[in-house]
Amino acid sequence: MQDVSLASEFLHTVPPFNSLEWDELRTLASKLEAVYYPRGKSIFSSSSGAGLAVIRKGAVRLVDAESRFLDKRSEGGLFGHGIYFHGELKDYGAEAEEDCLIWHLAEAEFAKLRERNPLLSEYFSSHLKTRLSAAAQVQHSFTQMRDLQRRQPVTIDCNASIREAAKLMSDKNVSSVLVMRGPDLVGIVTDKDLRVRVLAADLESDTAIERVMTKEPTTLSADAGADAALLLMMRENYHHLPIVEGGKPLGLVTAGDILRSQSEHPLRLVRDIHKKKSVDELVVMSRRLPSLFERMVTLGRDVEQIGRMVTHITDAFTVRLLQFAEIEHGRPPMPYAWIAFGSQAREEQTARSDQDNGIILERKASDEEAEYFSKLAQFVCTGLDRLGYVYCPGEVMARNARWRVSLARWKRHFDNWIDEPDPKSVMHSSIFFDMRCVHGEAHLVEELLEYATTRARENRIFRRFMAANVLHHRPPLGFFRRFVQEDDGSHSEGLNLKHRGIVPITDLVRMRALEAGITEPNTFRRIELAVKAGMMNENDASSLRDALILINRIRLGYQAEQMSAGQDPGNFVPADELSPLMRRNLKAAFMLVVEAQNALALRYQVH
Amino acid sequence: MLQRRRHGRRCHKLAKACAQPVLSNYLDACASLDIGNMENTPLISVDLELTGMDKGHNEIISMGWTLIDRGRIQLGSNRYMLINAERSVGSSAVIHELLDSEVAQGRSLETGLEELFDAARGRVWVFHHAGLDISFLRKACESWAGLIPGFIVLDTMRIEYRMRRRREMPIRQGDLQLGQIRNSYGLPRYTAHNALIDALATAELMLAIASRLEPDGILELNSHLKFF
Repeated sequence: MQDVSLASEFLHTVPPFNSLEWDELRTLASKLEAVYYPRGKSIFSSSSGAGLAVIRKGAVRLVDAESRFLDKRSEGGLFGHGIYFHGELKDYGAEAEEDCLIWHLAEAEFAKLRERNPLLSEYFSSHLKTRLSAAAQVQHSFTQMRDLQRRQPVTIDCNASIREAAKLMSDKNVSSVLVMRGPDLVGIVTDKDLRVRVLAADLESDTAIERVMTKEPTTLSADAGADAALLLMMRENYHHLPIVEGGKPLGLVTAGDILRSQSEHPLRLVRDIHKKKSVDELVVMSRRLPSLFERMVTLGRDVEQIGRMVTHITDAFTVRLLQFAEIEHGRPPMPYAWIAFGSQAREEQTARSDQDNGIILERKASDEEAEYFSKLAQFVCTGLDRLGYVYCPGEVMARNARWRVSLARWKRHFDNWIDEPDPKSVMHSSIFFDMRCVHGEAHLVEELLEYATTRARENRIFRRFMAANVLHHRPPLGFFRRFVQEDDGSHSEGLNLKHRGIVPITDLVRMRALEAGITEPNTFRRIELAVKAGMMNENDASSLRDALILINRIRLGYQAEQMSAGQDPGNFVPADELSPLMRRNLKAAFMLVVEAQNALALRYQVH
Repeated sequence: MLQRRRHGRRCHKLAKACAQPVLSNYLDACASLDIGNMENTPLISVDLELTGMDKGHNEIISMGWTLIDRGRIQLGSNRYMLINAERSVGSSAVIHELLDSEVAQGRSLETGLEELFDAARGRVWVFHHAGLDISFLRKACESWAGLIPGFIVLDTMRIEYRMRRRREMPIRQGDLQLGQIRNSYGLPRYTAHNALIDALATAELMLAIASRLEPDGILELNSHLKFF
């Protein structure tokens, strides 16, 4: 037995250390200090400079400065580093909730460790990024004037005439100009000044601009925050403010610029969607989605949250379109539910998604009623397509009469799939088990889901087909330098992260959810509920959760990169674009997925 | 305090007489050791694996230790070594899962002791049930250096026993075994056993006991020491 292998063996079970090489684990273990804290004892009162702490045994409460509970961590958990609590990075204290054995890594050693290991550095850097942005939020309300300012300032010398200034403003198409004496900003002239102080005062147009300008204008420092700037403008009723850095003007900012920057928040976007009056306006808004997505990814928001926010926006667009449709075609003749399938139902949408939707009608529709819902569906599906949610290639859309039927008919759809399963219909039907009500009568969706899940759960033959379907998408075995290694020994030049990574996991988890009678569509919550129902052990649950987060992080990162390069985001990554780090992460994640698939194959005797 | 001074004088005398430089240095440091509390007194937690309980017939087959500085166990200081036994391991092999051939790959008892006493210089020893291990160390030193060195020791079993007696807690058979006591402090269960794991387990227990004896401060060590 090696001297520090005791410690390194435990670390080997703790993410993210489980992906370190043994040599590195031993180095890490040799830097650790073990400390015992009896229940109730404070471990530290401030996380700044606390280094990293590993819970070897026991449980720890993380609390804020007022000793209010933030989070609880247990054996194998980490704390001491920057942690994001409910969307906010906070300084926190830690105390032993039970008797604890804690392994401490000093701040300086923690920094060295991250430096040596890009993987760890990445693992903790999402926190560091959020730390940076959260710190900016506290000091500068997140968006600084420096970030906003895109336009070069239009300036004029103080000795220039009013005519020259007016000409410059109209040439440059600006409503204000900064007046300079040498390198110094001495004043500002706006359209309004020209009207009030020149025309209304009957001033000669060759008068020096200096005489009509607003002297020593109020300025904003480049690192001022958006909130401060907005407040100032509202209080003083300014529409433009010059931004200065070190006395030099960087440019002008308008209230509109600031408001636009603030509207980039996804939830703000959702609110705005509901204020729009036409499909065209929605289309304009939808163009902001790519940059919003990119920002969410680069700001290091966690993948579960990104999926939820992106889906939130899709839902908002859908609901707004339905409202427009009801305005155009009149009130619906009967209660109905607009349902989403697939990734929208699971709240796991990313950069760009197809639309998968349908309608549940309360009862069988008359010809006239059917005509109404056909028009409604056509309106919404076409609208979604214009917004960038392209038509589903499999025609699983409400505009397809087959997926726009009564609750009873929907039940028969499920009966057909469940009673007479064949591989193709099972593959086809699995998307319908991920279902969520977006608009209308949620109880119709609940009843259908309850029905379908119960029937599927009771039918072992169907479940066996489902299990076989789950094994249909297999992660690749590994990587060569420029190729991905396939099951049959062949190589591919790249990897479809969705089909080879995400789908196998969502399929596995859906299977578990069906077995447990869980109707919740979101994969993370399904995992949680499956654990509660005793259908999945904590270990498997965290493996699948970790694998999903890991693969999605790489996928989202890649999509954000593609978008910033002006390409359409996709799921296919060429093998040579995968860094050694990504390969290692993916390999680890794939291994977890394969293990879970093998366990399923064994349970249902399928392969 | 009298005991401490007498022990110091003896170590001082032995240091002068000792021909083994490492042991002599250890004794020197032992004679003038400044003992305060858990945080300012360096400790070494040690466990030996033996072929049996009888120091006349049985031998040390492995040693494990870890250092405690500033009240914190230094995991990087963990040390484990196998010792060449002169006789066959015999029946205890089942317990220690050590075969003769493995034991034979170890180092000599002398070099092992040299490294141990070098590490222990300027430190208070921590054992769980010190008597047995100390008796084997004394005997080993006698044949190695021709003298029996002094030891200043914290014995987790003894401290726990005295604390339970003082608090009038019932003590049943087996209650004072390392694993049992650790359980009562919420310390992790180690399924495997060797000298290092047990030394580490003892070190963790020492920290736990110290925090229980002095919940709001730092444990002063002097009243818990035992001198050999």
